[in-house]
Amino acid sequence: MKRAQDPESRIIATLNSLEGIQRAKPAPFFFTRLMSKMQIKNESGWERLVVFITRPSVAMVTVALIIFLNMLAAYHEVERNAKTDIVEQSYADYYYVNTSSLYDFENPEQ
Amino acid sequence: MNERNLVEKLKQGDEAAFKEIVDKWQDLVYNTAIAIVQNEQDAEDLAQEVFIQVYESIHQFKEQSKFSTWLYRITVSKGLDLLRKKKTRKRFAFMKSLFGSDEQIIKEPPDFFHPGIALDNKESGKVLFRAIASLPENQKIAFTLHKVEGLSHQEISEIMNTSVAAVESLVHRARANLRKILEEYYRHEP
Repeated sequence: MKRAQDPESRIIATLNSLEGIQRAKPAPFFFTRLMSKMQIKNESGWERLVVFITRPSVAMVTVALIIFLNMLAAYHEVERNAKTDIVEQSYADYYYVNTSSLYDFENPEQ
Repeated sequence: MNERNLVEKLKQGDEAAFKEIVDKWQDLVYNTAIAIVQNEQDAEDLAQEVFIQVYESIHQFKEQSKFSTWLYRITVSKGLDLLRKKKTRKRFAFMKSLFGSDEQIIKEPPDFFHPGIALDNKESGKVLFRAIASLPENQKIAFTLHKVEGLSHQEISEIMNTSVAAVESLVHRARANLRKILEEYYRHEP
């Protein structure tokens, strides 16, 4: 009740509320945390790369990617072989080029 | 070891000297940082950044001023940078929200209670720090260094690279502005 009736004294009290303020202190072991932060900042690019690569999630994704690329390459290889066979066969059919063996030359009457 | 010796040792890369510097001035840096950024976690990060800069750029300290003056300068500069970044992020989040982004607007920070204020002044201290946060940068720094760190106008003028008269004017205007803000606050307070 008194507060609402006397805004001026409240303003003065608020403006003076920093009188006798004590210094705030950081939490204990500040230097340890500081050194840890400095160490992280100072790690070289290679060290950071090794840390990144050896993360389980990164390793698993990398292995999965390699397996996927292998499967993709194998699939394309099979498909390419199948296509080559078809082209070769149609070429042979067109020019009557059949596979001949030594037996065909030795027995021309057949 | 005195201040000059510590600085010389640090310039030679002596880590023990660095530890002594941190132990000796961590409260000064942290207290200044927390008064500027008004958040304990930000103040911790800021204090760490200040000492990292001290370690990395000690060779730039020419000993024309006191070491503590140099520390205050770095802390104030980094503190203001942090506040500007936070303000920019807040504006950006607000703009994104206007364009229908799902990202929420960054909420107002929770009330700040300075750990060094006596218990019976906690509430008015909270109101005062909120008012200080809305002051222009120069007034905020001059008033904070004067009232929270207890520095003289002469010391503040060295930190802010300005005249004593300018600091007196800044502190005076800060107080006048704070009064206006508080009048408004108490008029509309429920």
